[in-house]
Amino acid sequence: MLPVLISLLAGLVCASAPQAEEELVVLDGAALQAVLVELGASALVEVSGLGRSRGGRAIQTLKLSSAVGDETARPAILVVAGLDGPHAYTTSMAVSFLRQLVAGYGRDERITSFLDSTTVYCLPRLDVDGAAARFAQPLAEVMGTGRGIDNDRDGLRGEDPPADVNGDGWVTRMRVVDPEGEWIIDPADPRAMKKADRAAGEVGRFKNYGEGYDRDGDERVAEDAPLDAVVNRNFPRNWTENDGAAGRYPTDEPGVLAMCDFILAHTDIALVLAYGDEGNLVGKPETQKDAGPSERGSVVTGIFEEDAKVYAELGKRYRKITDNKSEGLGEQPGSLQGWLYHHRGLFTLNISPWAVPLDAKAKTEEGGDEDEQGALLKNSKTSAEQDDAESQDDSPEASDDSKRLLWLDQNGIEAHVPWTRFDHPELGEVEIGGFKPYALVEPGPARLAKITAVHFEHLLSLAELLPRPSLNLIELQDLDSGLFEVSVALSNRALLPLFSRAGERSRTGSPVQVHLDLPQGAELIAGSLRTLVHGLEGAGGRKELRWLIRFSGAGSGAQIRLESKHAGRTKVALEVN
Amino acid sequence: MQALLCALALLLPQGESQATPDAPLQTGPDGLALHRPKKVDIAFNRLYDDVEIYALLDKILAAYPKLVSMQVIGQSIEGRELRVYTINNPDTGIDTEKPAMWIDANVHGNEIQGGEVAVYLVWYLMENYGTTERVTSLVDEFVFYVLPMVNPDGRHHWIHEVHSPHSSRTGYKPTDNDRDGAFDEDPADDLDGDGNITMMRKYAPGEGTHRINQDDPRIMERVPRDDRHLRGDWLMLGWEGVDNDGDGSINEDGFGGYDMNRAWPALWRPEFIQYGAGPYPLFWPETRCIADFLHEHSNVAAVQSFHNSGGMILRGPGGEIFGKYPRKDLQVFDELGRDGELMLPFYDYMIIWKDLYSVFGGFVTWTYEGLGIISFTNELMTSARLFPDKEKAPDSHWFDDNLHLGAGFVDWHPVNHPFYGEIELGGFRKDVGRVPPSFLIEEMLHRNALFCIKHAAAMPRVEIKSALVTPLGGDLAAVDVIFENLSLIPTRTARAAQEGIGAADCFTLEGPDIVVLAGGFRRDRWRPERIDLAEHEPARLLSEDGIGSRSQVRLRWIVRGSGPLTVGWSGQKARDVQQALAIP
Repeated sequence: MLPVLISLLAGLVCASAPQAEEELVVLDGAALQAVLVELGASALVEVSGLGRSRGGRAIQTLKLSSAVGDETARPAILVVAGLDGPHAYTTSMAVSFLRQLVAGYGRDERITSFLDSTTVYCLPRLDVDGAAARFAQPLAEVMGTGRGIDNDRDGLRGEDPPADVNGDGWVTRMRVVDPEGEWIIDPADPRAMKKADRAAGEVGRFKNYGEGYDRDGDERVAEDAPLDAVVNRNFPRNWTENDGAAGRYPTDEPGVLAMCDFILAHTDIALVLAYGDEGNLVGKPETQKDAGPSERGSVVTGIFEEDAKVYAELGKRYRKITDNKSEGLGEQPGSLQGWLYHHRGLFTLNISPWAVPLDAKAKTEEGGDEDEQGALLKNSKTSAEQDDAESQDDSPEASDDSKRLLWLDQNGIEAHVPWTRFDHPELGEVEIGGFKPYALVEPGPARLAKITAVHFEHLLSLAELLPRPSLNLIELQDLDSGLFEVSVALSNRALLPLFSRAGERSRTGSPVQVHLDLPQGAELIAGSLRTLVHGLEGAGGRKELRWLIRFSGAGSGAQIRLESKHAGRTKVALEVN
Repeated sequence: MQALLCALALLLPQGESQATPDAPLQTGPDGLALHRPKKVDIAFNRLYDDVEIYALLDKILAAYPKLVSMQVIGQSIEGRELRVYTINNPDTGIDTEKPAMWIDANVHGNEIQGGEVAVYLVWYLMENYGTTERVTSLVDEFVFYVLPMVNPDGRHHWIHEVHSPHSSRTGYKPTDNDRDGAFDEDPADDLDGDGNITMMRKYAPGEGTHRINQDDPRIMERVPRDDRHLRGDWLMLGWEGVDNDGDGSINEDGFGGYDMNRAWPALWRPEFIQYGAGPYPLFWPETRCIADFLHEHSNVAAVQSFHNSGGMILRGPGGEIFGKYPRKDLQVFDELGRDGELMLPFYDYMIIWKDLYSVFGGFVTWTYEGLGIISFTNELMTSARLFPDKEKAPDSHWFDDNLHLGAGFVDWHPVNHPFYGEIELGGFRKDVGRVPPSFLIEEMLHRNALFCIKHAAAMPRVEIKSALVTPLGGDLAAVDVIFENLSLIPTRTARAAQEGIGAADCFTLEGPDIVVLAGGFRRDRWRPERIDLAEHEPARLLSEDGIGSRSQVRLRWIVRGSGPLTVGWSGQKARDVQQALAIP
């Protein structure tokens, strides 16, 4: 706890200037609260409660909005982070963005114009219970923090949780020699385990358990944790029925329900940035044709093709700014990200900020820079394993874990707890070890600061991509006898269309309204006083509207107004002489 | 007149009415013609509003306070209570320890008469408790949770405000149906102030799409579009209303505008696949409080929901994409459905997606697919009740003309429409078509309430058929127990077993001086050694499959020791049973 606070204070000192911190740490609940209090003191920021999690912890949202101009005429960007426990670190990115925006407003021209034109909402941490596990002792990665479920269907809930059996402070893995085992030691790196490839003649030697006990004596280990429905699998999109881990029903989790209602209430949101396990900007996300409403009720599985083109360009720009190579997962069932795009029609940029690279190359020459881990690695090999290791260049079967270990070694990160013998009360002789919790998820304080800095750049680059249709008078032609033909063009120069194909399909995309306001004495001959424009392409999308109006006497004061919830407002006056 | 007589009867002092000389005649069994006077007098030949429905149930509750209780489980959008009336005999245990039947109605605001079925059911069970043996044992053994109105707002507005037979189906949360940013701004309008929303027609000689039927000038018929180039003289302009928001469309954003029977979390699909589904399942408070109630009452073993109309006994699935229900459960559905067809003349036992239309996120499909409970929806009222022989009925007016002397139809009459100018309005009143006429109501209530009772009586009943100790020599013994489910509905539906819904059944053996060495389910009634041995905890054997429909489960335990022991079964959908034994 103490180191976190110290880093935080260091951060506060330098918060007066909009520059990136050199190190960013993961924030525990109290530290996050302190940052929210600090941010809340700014006139730009409004902090609101979003209820409490199943574990009783407060969930909060922030709104950043400048006092210049009409706040209701601005589109908004929503930043969400901390959607699950393991990704608690993404919260630090989100609040760093907010602090840089607050600190830079009025000082930095780019930040000032960003906030004068765009509202920012932020949900820094949805899975507040999962994040609490990040700071618990012993340390464990906790994905599920929703409603308790009876995972092993023995009539008891949470009776057999993961545990730190050997008391080393980490909940890691246990491997046990067992004739039923399906795992072997990876010949490429004896610290890594891999599933035996039986088709290739490999015979399993080990059972590979999460660290824990078999308290209920059912021969399953650590299979029933107390809070274990997964918060970010409880949203309505493609929700998994009859799977306790997804919740009893969509929005069963209080934070999920509150988040859904938040989205419904904030119709000014034009774009969402979601930092977590999913990614759609680095890899190539699944796409599909819009086949229309399905009579059979089959679930749309990918991004609609029209939208995929927009995502592809957004991805290109994102990669250029951030150089991020982490693809992240595809859309997960019941995730917030999937619901936002498919059911609410919102362009949602899913960002997996970091993953251990899998492309590290082993150094060929036996150099003097071999580190301790490497030495350990070499010493712990049996001769049989040594033989396997020597043939690894020919073998494409090296496990991903061994590749991760290689990168971690090369970067001097002690991510692995060496396998050590332990006399387990129920399983007998076991080895306990494996990756330290969070070691494969978190980039570490220095790297996180760098990642955050480029992602802040990316955030700033997005304001100009939001649709803000302009209204241009094309023609105001006097047809004689007080009759005028009026035509205007709505055009959208921004990259994003007015709303996505998914927004059209789900009927949640918000149309813009064009109003014709006529003064006393003016009469509409053709056209409509109010027009709903349902779609407007990005990058030069254009739509013309025409009216015939008869003015009698002094016809001044007529105007055409464009109003929208998420794409700004504008108007044009009709000057008739 | 009839209503007046009823009111007078209520004014008479009670003692006086009971002392009439006719009393000795009125002692026959209930439900038959010469039945005794009722403790609670309710006119079952009319329908009631939301306040009256609760008042009737409160009256029954006041007369039978021991057996009936009420709890408010939630509030509607407009703040009306959602009340569950529970029938339970506390002398035979608390409600949650007994199998229960859930009955609800009126999720669609205009489909009201299920509310009266709910009242009738509670009334019938109470009036006959203690006098009709099968009612008494049913009430002693089982529990009924009765929610008469899922959508009291819809009911209230449909009855008290201007509506058509088909409007007020929705709840009353303002909803922007036409995506113009305004909520509920363009509902239907009662142009002539007669309290009905009927149809609009306009005389347009030679330019219309419709003509007046030659035999009955009240009936409009479409002019065929073919090479004869026939022209009609009338345009049909839809339901009575004006363009309130000036967008060029009429009645396109009425009150609410969603469907609370598309909101449940099984095969739920978003708005673009399923109209009315809402932004997420259980979006409206009326639906969420019911879902929570059912999740908290795992003893519910039967579900019935009432709608109108069409004369149907419906079961899921709601969408073809689901596939088929498991065979063992289908046998249960089919037996009840076929009995229902006999109990409810002119009703058909049907599959929702196949025989009606696709319904994603429907209630009874969720209670079966998501909660594993045998569930039906009845669509009350069918015109076949009016015209058993459709061939002989000339048209839809014949019944109204001859049995209501035309009272059900608002004849075409001129009004001035702000937009269309001179038009005519006409059509059937809102209480014609989907709800039965007064004189058919009681029959509908009785038959449907008794169908519920049939379903309730099929809830699982577990008994220990036999329990035997066989000494195996030394201090070892075998304990053989046969558990039997006497009822049609299994203790675990195949769906529940398949999906791991709810808790598995549990078969137990315990005794202070007994060590259970092994145990398991017997696979062969003749060969005791053929046992599926449990891998651990043999004294507490779990079974996802439970005890099937009218079936037995045989177990054998191998134990060491002697003295008293207890074998038992516990599960969520039937009363737990135990039996004491001893090993000498």
